[in-house]
Amino acid sequence: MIGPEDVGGAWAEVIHRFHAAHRGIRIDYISGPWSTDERQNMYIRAFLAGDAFELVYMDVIWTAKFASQGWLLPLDRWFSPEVRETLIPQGIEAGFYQGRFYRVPVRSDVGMLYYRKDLLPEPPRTWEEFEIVCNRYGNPPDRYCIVFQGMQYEGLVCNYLEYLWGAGGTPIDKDQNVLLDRDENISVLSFMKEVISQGWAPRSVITFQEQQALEFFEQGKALMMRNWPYAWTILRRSPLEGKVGIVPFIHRTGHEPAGTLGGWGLGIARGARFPEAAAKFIEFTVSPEAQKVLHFRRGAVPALKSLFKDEEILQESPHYTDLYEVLLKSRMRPIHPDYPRISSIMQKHVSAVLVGIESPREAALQMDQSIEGLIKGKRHSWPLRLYFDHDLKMTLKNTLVFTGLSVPFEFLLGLFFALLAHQPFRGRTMLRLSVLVPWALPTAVMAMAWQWMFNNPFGVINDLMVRVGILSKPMDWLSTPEGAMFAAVFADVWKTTPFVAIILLAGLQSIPQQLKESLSIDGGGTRMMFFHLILPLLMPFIRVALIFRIIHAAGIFDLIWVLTKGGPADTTRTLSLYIYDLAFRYDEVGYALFLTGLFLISLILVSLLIVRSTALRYERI
Amino acid sequence: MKKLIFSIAIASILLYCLFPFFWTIQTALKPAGTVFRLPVSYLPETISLENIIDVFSKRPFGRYVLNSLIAGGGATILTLWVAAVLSFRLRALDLRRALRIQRWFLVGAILPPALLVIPVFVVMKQLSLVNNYLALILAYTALNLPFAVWMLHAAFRQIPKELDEAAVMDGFSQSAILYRIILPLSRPSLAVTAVLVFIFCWNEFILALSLMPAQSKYTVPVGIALLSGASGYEIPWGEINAAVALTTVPIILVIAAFQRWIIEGLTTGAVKG
Amino acid sequence: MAAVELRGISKSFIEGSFPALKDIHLGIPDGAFAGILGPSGCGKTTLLRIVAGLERPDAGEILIAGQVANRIPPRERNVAMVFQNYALYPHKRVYENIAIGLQLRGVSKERIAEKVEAVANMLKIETLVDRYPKQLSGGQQQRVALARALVREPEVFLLDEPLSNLDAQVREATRSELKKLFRGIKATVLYVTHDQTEAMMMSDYLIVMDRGVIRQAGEPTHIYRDPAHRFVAEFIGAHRIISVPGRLQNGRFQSADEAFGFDTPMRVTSEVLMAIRPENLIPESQEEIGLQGEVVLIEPMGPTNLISVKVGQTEWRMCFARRPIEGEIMGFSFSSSNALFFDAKSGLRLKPGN
Ligand SMILES: Nc1ncnc2c1ncn2[C@@H]1O[C@H](COP(=O)(O)OP(=O)(O)OP(=O)(O)O)[C@@H](O)[C@H]1O
Ligand SMILES: [Mg+2]
Repeated sequence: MIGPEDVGGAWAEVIHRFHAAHRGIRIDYISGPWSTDERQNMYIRAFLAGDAFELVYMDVIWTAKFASQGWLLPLDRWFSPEVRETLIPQGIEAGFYQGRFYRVPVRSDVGMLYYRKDLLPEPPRTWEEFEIVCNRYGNPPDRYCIVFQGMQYEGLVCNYLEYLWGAGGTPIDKDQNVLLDRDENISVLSFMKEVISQGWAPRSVITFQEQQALEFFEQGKALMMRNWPYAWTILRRSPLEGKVGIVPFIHRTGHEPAGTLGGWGLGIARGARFPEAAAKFIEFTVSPEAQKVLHFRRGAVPALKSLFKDEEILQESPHYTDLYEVLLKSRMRPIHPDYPRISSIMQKHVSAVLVGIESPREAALQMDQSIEGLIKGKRHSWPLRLYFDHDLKMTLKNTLVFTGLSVPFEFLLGLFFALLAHQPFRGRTMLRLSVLVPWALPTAVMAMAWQWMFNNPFGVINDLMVRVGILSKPMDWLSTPEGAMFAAVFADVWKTTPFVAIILLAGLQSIPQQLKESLSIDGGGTRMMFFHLILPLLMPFIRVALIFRIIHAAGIFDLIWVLTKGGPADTTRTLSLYIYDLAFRYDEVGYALFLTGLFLISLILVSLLIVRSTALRYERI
Repeated sequence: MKKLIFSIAIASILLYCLFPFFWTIQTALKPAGTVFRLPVSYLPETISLENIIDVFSKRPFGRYVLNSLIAGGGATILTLWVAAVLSFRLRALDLRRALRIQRWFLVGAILPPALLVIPVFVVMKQLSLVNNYLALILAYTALNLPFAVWMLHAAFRQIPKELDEAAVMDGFSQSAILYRIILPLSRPSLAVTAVLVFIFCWNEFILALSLMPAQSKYTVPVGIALLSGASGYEIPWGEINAAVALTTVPIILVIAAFQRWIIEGLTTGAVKG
Repeated sequence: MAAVELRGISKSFIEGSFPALKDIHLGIPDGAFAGILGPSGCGKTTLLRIVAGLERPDAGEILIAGQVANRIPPRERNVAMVFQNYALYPHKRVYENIAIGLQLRGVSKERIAEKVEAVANMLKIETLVDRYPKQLSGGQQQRVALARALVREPEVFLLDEPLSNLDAQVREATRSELKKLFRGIKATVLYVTHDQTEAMMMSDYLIVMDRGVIRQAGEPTHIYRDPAHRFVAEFIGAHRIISVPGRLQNGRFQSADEAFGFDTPMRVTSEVLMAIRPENLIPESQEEIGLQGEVVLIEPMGPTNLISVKVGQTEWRMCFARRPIEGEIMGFSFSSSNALFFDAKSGLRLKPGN
């Protein structure tokens, strides 16, 4: 099985105890990346590769997808209703897909509201109360009212759904009807927008994941925080110890509060060689013994009901009584094999509202349509689907923007570099060498470096710009549409200008010195020289560089994938990213291949066009 | 005056090209605790190897390096070998025909790997080669072959045909001519081609990401891009920068050692297509 | 017995185009130093390469030492070739360059060392064996290339313009040395050149080629005196032969421009080209046929002067010690027995007998 890094050695301990009890069975725990998305992709690629892990350690939202692909073994055989009875019902429910049971919950997780007991007499329960509390006790920018997770990623959907459910809405009903064009959704989006625009939450929440929100809250800069149970463990060791309470998330008067159900569970891969052993292990992980280990070592909230009344645990975590209440109010995100795409559509539009590029109404309608199109659109034939494919249009536009911005810059800058590097001067070798550096460094790796440099507030670019006075305060480069596109283009220009420069330099060197001399004898000035001699003779080189650059800019993948992942609100997601996701996340290899083919053909056409339009007359003869 | 402007222009290019690299190194050398500190400091007050040691001790970075070396090294050797044989064949043809064949080759070389990844993945899966070094080695070989053929063919053409004929008269077989005459004589080109191909492989991302999904098979760029934080919510920037520095410094050294030939090689390789 | 014999060899590189070699028949006597002479592109190198086995003929047979060699691969033909640009292995020392052919043939180390030393001594390159080809002068490289051929003691040596890359002085010295050398070892040599002086001086047997065919083969002096084809007459000789178009009829030659005519022993009636070598022209009218014309050009050449005299439409060149003035009318003469006649169409030599 793959999980995140085994902090505290909890899993090692569980496995150790299991090994001791069951000689002959061996469990391997592989530390995966911290990003759940990435771990999911690891599992998917492993399934696709036909080289699956026996035990699948799943987030709640993966179950439907994995089960619908037939990658999981139903567990009904090993886990009878009586056994299931002992676990948190929501967690069990989430383990079902089309009537069969695939996943046993191991850790519970639920979104909830943390509040400062010392500063607020009463936590707000409803939106109205929330507004009053915020206006009375909030004091931005020193102390905001609330922080939550506003970056474009799965966490945003969790936040959003809590508002939506709390207002009596739901994204998709049991009959797979999409209900997002309803008024309650529009009002929810408006309210979320208001939370920021009223200054209840800091503007920077749109870049927050759990970590940032927690840090913000920990520093005492917010009265409330929407977060997961894990934050409790950390807050307990902070100056805020004893000053924090938890309640269910706010809701609209007349409706029920709800927390998004998270949590991790175990399933068994269909190709597993030792399903019996795997089942034994799963059974062990939900035993009181293992659940306690996970709790004490890792701070994992148990899935086993009885532990919430366990003396030993309550002594250590008295808040579990409250937490249990919240857990029983938790709700499942839509159960659909295409949930990842549904979620990314919601992320995109909610983010767009928060960032301010879409109005709540627009966003609600778009969301509804796209999800509807996705659920129904799969039945169209590929060419027809092109027409309905909203993501395709969006990513195509982004690709064009990216290419259109980066290639001209690379070009002019590259030409400038080449002209300079062509001059004889001391240290020319040094210059040429350093021009090679960006070209030779791995794009994906340098994208990490750029991500760091564009970081807010620790990144050097913000620091420099503020010092020089271009910016008045640090900017969130990677989480605003313009900023992210700028960052991507900037990094790409940095990376590929050298390539253009090297080619053009070769071109310049191929121009015979005599020609220049004869032209200057004929009385040509610098400008004349440039436009009538250098440029035409450079044409073949320019053409090659141009074709190369356009094709590669249009096919950009690694830079963006690492730098922005296509965000925010998909504003930097390019075609390659989309096609990649189609194949490796949405399991639509056929459609992905089809798009690849189209993409290829259009690139070839563009290249031919360039060759045609830049061919000088004498070259055609 | 003119000279001053010129110098400033040169200096800004240098700064522009080298700054990100410099920044990575300086972050990597900061003591782990001081990475997240405001205001941003431009030179670390104390230099610490903490981050670098962490990368190796806390994470399987050594493993990633090994994977990259196996895949990149294997691909480089295979590419050079196949390219040498193909170029030798091409050299036997008359120049015009050889160039025509080569042009078709180069059309393949210009495609970005992002467009090839899905078909390649499908094929590799059919061959059950996913997670196998061979998958990457084969894919990289195919990807770099046109470029390598271009470089080697150009180099082989420099060697006069009479030399082969003299060798035939002396009693060399065809393969002996390739291995004992042509290859030794093309050593500089072979070296540059090898260096460049290796750098391409070392840097490649998307194929490595898709064809080697198991974490134990990550190459360096994949490993770095997916470098994980302890709590799941914090990003270990100090270590990431250390890893980036460790990956890039060797490349820069190699580039410095070979820069003249690389510029030449790149330009012949890229332009004539 | 002929060391090398070619029977009906043809070769064309590009289908349908002008063939590089056309139905070549040739026998080179054992131990002869055979020069192959012809203008650039006439197929000399191709002929040599076919003998070496580096090129396959389209048709015909190659016999080496009486054996059909068409199917024998080059290295088993027992021939050695010296290339125009020497083709030394740049990455091997002189010693290895010379020795490699023997090594590949499995000769023992001691034996190789002995032989290489002997050859190096013979060519006076014994002090150079540890150098790389780049460290040698052109003449030295040429010797190494020669040594590489000699050391194998083949039956036939093929030399493709081995002297053309040397400067004039070295070339002259080497020329005689080469001849002595090959005479000494009594080997059969095919020696390609486009320098007719070189060919005349060195060869025991001369082959004159033109556009893929052999125009004449035989002893050099014989070829000089008795050219079988207009091309041979024009190609060979210290100065360009003078040719005058005209007509033979009733035993009399009449120039086409009506400038002169004379009686000959020729019986044919035909359009012809009358040719005469400048060295056969004599000042004043000492010989039977005397002509005179205006001096149009004088090119001093040390002891003699090359004088061009215009008679009718033709410029006649001659070498005289006397130095006339341009514009002067000058007389000269020749003997009708020195006049050669070639058929205007085929270029073949016409003789009194037919
Ligand atoms: N590999 C080839 N492909 C096509 N044509 C060739 C080839 N080699 C020779 N030829 C042609 O065949 C003819 C004879 O060439 P060859 O090299 O034998 O001439 P040569 O007499 O050696 O001339 P030179 O004195 O210039 O060396 C020429 O017209 C040449 O263009
Ligand atoms: Mg020749």
